[in-house]
Amino acid sequence: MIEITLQLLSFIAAGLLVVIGLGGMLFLDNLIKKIIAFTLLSDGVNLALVSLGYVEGGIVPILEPGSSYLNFPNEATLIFGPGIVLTNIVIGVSTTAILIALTMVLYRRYGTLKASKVLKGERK
Amino acid sequence: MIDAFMVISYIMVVGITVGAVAALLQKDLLRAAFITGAESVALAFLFHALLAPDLGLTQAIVGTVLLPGIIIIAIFKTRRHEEE
Repeated sequence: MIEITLQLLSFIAAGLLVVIGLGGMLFLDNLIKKIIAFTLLSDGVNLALVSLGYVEGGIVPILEPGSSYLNFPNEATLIFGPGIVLTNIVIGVSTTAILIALTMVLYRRYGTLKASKVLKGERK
Repeated sequence: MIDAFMVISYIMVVGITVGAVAALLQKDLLRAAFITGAESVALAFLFHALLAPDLGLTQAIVGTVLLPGIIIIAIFKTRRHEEE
């Protein structure tokens, strides 16, 4: 019997976010909807990395005055996942900004936001 | 014993999934941008519950203000409702 913990639930939610984001990027026709699905996919990957480093009943990996050095490796959560995710959040938003700018250029040229019409290549 | 913080965390786990589906089902793109911001707040709370409060702070600022902001700018420069 698998015990239901916050770590397991957030890992399942991360998998669902990745599936929803990938499906939205593949099957939705609106370009801005595709970008929103891309951010959801990025959120899912971030949540998976953070929930892998979680320790049940652990502490935040910050040493405070008076805290013990001996229990710190056993109690503190892993910091490698959050170290990557902190970079990924910032880079993800700048990637989204570039995608938004390209979408506005496409709208100015083709007069539509539908990916199927843009792929047909009919100028406005 | 029921811990209120953990109960709210479980609600937030359900909330990010429901919010992700609800954001992609909207026909109004402005409403989809706002729902994306709300889903990002739930994700920030969940980061805090998973003992990574630095990520929670970053996600709360970036996902709530910056990301819906640039999407709203794009919507006002293009069109608001999804065309048929």
